[in-house]
Amino acid sequence: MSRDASPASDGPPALRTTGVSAGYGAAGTAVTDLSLRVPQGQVVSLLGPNGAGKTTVMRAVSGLLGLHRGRLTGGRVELFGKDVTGARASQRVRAGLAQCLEGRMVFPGLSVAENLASGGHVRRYRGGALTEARDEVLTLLPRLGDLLDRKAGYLSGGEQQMLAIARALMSRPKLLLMDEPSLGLAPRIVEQVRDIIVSINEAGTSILLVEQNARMALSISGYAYLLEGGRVYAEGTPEALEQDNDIAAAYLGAGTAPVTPRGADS
Amino acid sequence: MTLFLQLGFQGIALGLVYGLIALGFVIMFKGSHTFNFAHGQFVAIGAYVVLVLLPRMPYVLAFIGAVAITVGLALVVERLLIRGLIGRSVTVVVLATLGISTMLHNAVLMVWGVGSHDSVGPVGAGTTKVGSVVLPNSALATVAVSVVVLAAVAWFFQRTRHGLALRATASSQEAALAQGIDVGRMFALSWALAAFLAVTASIFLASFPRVVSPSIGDLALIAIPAIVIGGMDSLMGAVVGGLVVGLTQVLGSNYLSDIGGGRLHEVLPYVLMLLVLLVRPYGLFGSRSIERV
Repeated sequence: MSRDASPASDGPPALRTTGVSAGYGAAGTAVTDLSLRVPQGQVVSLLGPNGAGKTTVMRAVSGLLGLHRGRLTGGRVELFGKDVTGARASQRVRAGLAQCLEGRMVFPGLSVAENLASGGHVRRYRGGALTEARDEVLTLLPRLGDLLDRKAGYLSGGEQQMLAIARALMSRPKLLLMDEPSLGLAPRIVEQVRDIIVSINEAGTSILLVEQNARMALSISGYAYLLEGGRVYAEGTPEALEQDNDIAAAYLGAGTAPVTPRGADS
Repeated sequence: MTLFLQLGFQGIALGLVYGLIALGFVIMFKGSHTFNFAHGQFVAIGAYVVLVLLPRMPYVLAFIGAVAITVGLALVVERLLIRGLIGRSVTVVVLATLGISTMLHNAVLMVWGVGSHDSVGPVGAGTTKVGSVVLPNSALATVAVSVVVLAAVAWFFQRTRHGLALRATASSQEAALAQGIDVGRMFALSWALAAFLAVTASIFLASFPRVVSPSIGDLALIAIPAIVIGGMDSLMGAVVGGLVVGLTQVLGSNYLSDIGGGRLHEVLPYVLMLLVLLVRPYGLFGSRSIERV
């Protein structure tokens, strides 16, 4: 787990947005002048209340704004030093980006195996290479191995979240965006998801994590941004944010009770 | 019994042709969320292009030429119109395809007139005897080619990377985009595939009344009850629905010829369609959606 807040020494950041503004037509601007950075190898979280613009930031990074009739109105998005501001979603995936969408969004009518194969679309795996990539992903999420022929729509919420994560890993991403991976899951499953995120990061993938569960997110992040009304309200290391009493009270849950220890059954 | 077997075979052959057309409808519907009323005109244009090319080249080349031209036309319609309407209401898109249908229909009338032309089927009028059953060669060719084409389509969807990507796109455009699947390209692919199926159907459809006429485009709309019966979002349902409609028409035209001036068989598919809509609105094979939150 990387809790090192200093900029990574090697190479450009996994993600850098500079002055990004985005909105959805008549609905006005959802995100204004947003600059954030995910250094390579780190977990960075994006926190804030509902409607703060977290998902819009994700879409601006992944190129999915257009699908929601949204638009980037200013700023720049770079992945590993490469400008992808106007690039299509597929080009960004090829550049090393993968994402777990809010609400998991597995393909319900496709089998688990087919969901996983679709995650490797840009890699053009052939025969053995596909199985190899899948086995690699399944070492991290072994439970899915027994469910390969099951239709994804019949999985439990927790299993669907695991599948969404596994599917995203199939393209061997260098940067993973995760939008509310703990949403609607039982506390025990949230612990599992957290451990998986840590393992993914330890294997070398940088992560941008959007969470309502601020405590969980901060416990594994090296840096965090607090969004409010589409702007960065505060940013810093988890320690710094937790020490600021106003922020801690308003965004991280009243009081600064210690983070739940890993593996604890709450 | 012999008559029943002969009619049954004819019904299956006609049903498979409807199945090919219906399958195209369903592929476009799933792939690009568009119910394309102009699909019947793709069938008509396919038949007319074969008609034009046939005197100038071997059959296979004429067919390939017709596929190329019809697929090209489908791609232009998809790119210029359908993709521009992404996110608009279903009604807008459907009305747009109705407009295109009328335009294409009138283009056919302008170029080729209202008259009928000889069939463009790949085989002549001969028959083959199997035991006591006499089967038209055109029906045999229809069944053989349709089965091969349907198997190839099934293989494409189940076994290839692009087939999987198309199914993923049909399931969720957002999730497909997130996997790096180029959804715009998948729209185009689904339209191209549908147009190919339309041309394949057209050469056989033209051998049932044994003529090519502008009404072939309307004839193709019989695929609509087939889709409703089978289920709007089921590829398998499209083929089964096509078979049901084909058999109903052929058997009905013979056994019910005393009722309603012999036209009852033309109504029967729609009666079946309404019955299915009342009892099982998502069709025999359609899904009520198995999503779970």
